[in-house]
Amino acid sequence: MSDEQTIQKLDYKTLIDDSPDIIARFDRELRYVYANRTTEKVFEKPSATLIGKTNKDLNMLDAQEKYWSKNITDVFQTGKETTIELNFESSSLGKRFFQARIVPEILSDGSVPFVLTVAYDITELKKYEDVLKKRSEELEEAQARDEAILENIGDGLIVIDNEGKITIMNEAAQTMLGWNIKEVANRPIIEVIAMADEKDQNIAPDDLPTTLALKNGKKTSATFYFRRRDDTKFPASVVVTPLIISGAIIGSIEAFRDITREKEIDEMKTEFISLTSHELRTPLSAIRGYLSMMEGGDYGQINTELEKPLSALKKSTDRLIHIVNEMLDVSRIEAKKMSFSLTEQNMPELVKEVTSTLQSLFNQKNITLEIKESEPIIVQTDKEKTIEILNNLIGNSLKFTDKGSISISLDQKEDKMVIYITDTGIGIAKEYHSKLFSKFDEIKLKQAGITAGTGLGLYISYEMVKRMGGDLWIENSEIGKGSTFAFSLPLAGSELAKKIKNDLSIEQNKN
Amino acid sequence: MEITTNKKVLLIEDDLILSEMYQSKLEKEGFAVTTANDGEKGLTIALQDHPEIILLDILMPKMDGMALMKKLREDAWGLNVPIIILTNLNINDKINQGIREDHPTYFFMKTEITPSDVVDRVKEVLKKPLA
Repeated sequence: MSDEQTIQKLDYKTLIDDSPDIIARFDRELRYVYANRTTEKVFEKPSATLIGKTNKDLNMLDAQEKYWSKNITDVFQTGKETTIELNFESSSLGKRFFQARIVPEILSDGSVPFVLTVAYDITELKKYEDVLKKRSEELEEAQARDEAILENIGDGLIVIDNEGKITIMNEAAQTMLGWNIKEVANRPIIEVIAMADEKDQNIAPDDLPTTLALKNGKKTSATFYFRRRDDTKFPASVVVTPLIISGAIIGSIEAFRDITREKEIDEMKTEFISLTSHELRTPLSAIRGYLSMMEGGDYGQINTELEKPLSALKKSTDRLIHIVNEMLDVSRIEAKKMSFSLTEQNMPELVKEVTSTLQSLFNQKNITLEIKESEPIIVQTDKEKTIEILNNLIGNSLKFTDKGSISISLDQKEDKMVIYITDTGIGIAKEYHSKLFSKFDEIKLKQAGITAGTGLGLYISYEMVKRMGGDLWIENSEIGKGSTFAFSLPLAGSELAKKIKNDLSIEQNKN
Repeated sequence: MEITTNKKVLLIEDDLILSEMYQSKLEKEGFAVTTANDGEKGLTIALQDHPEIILLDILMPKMDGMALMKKLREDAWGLNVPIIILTNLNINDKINQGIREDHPTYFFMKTEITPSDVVDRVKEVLKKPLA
């Protein structure tokens, strides 16, 4: 052996001896012919005591020894290298996992006198693997659970990514819209699902709630009509929420519920109220008619003692008729069947007309009525409805004012006329201001002494003014200091007036 | 008695109480009142009797007031007979479309008009010269 060869051999031996892997060599009797230092550590015996011994001789655990021996024997027989995993327990190291390569040393005649085994410790790796396995099982479980929830809720659910492409569409959404997720996955939602408003107009792509969610991070909660695949449509209560993760919009969730049934029930309710109210009018007409005939002496002179009860009967009947009228107004507003006959009216004239019929009420309560002089202001409005609104607002002021005055002034602002009705009455606490024009808070308002009668008058007035292109609001109101109510109407001939006239005629032709 | 004495009024109203009420008030004022309790009867009587004025309800069995009016306006005589509609329906576009301006038609809500108001309206209408 040359020096160089000697050095090389020594180098290799050092490398092998000091390797952290367990390296050993076995003869065909499965006896150690070589064991490196790491092997000594594992067996806690010097390598010299290992040589010539089998694992069995070294008291390796029975099961481990059999597994080890079988694999080595296999390699001797097949002459093919193999890799196995095994665990090994020792008092110093505890339980460790190893991966071992068993390599045959094949001579030129094909015989295998020895095998070399290289085992390295994979205990740490194993630990990571276990953790990973557990995590992924948990994840799979969570995903399966989420999917089960998504699939089983009755609400439709569509998830889109930041480009507006559909990533999830649950079973309910697929059924409601008539699409299969396989057909629409990864397609832009605006190309697949169209939405319309109450008037059957398609919502422009830029105004769709999903677009708003992606662009501005805006959450939408409203009623829309969805168009199904076959172009039929259904009303739905829709909530679209942007998905925001660390400040970035990564998509949005659209949850929706078919409200066809609710709409039907609501329409039935409105229809029912409308029918009963109409039915009520016939007997009320008879009561009122006969009372007026009695009062008029058609059935003989009225006994003075009967005057009071007769007058009470008449007042109550009138009130009942008023309530029925209000209920019909509400049902017409709800059913969007209120019709308007828009004409040009001189507002100061109309105010005078209405207040003159109320004059006796002012006199009874000893309240002063002040009407600020005004130039003619011509508005576009439904005369009868404007009279109803004026009666309502002035009547309300009168009801809640016990002394002082009610003053009315008119003004022109841009394309609208504005009328202010100011009283010196009890006033309304701020907390009720926002509730005054809705029809659902009447009971509370009534308990608070803010409204009288059905209290539907303000709601009706508000809705009517809105439909005619104006607005109605509380300009000012404070407890003990009185209130100013105001409403506006479009000036005749203005662009707004033309638009409203056009809108209303389209709508009324539909009904 | 006034000049309206014995003028023929046809009252078409399905509610018997209301019908009786208007009838009694009109008769007190000297009108000759014929009544009909459904639209079909109303139309037949109108075309036979040629009353001077018709008081007409809208919601009625067999034939409603609007249908009756349409038929009546197709008749040479019926074209110009004054009709006062007395109804519980608010005026709406359907009623508006049925009322042609060149025909003498008037519209009142029954809850808003007393029997004596009805008589006043009838007298007023009958005083007007035919269009």
